[in-house]
Amino acid sequence: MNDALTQTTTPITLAGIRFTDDVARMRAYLEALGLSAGITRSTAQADWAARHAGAGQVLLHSAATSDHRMPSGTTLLTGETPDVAELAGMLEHRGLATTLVDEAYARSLEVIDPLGAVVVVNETQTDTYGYDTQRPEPDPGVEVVLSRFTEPAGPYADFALALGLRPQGEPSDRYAAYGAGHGVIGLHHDDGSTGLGGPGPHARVALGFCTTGHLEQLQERLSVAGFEPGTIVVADFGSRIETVDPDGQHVEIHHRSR
Amino acid sequence: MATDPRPGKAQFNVYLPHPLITRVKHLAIDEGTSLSALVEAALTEYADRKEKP
Repeated sequence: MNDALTQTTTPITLAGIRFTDDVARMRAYLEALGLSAGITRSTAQADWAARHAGAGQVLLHSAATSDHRMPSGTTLLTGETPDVAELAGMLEHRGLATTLVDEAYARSLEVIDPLGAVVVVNETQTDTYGYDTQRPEPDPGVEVVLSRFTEPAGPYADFALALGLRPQGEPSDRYAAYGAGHGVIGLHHDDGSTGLGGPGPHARVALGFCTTGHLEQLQERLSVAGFEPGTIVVADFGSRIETVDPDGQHVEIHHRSR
Repeated sequence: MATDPRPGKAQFNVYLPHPLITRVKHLAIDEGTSLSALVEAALTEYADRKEKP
């Protein structure tokens, strides 16, 4: 296989897009976790926000005004890359059909993932008309982790590779992670307990994070900001906070060594 | 397995001058609408007006 067609010059930044009934509260929640603003709307519209982590992003969109018509609390997989045409070429080379769409803010790429859901990858916005831009200053130790409930060694693994992602850590028959330094997608064996598995166009992802910081300090930050600090769970493979976000969704924040 | 995310709609690629592309994109941002929705409204209005007997 031609390496030029299987490697992007710039890796995709993985992001989760959360549809929510309360963009402002979810925005404050993400900021308490250490995420930071980049581009924001200049107008008073509060139906959209983007927050950057040290690696990866979370986009927030009002569930009421989104064309997707997703219930509040739903998270879908999305991403950002500097050149969607380059990514389209890479995906097409792997036999995946793509569609490029002109949006007002930039181009976007649509591709159907192995679970039948549309994954949208936005091109990095260069025309910032109508937006305020600021340099994001996130906690560098916080990374966005998006969990897909599907077989770790199944077709989704090939899809992750087609996106230019690489295996992260040691995979098992229950879990495999993929990333390129800008967020992680974790493939979990689907035992049906989350209700987020597929297949189908509405197969969802679970929004999560990992941090190199102290979990107790993060709990304190959440409490001070008025959010549920959750419980620290210690397992063989590491420690994590299990908590609930303002949309009522289960969130796990795993500790990662520096 | 996948469903059409935009039932009843299709892509329509045309060539336009760069300055006009920028104008309509900025207009869509000003009006808080998608580029597709703005172009659909503009073309519908134009076609309706032209087709009047």
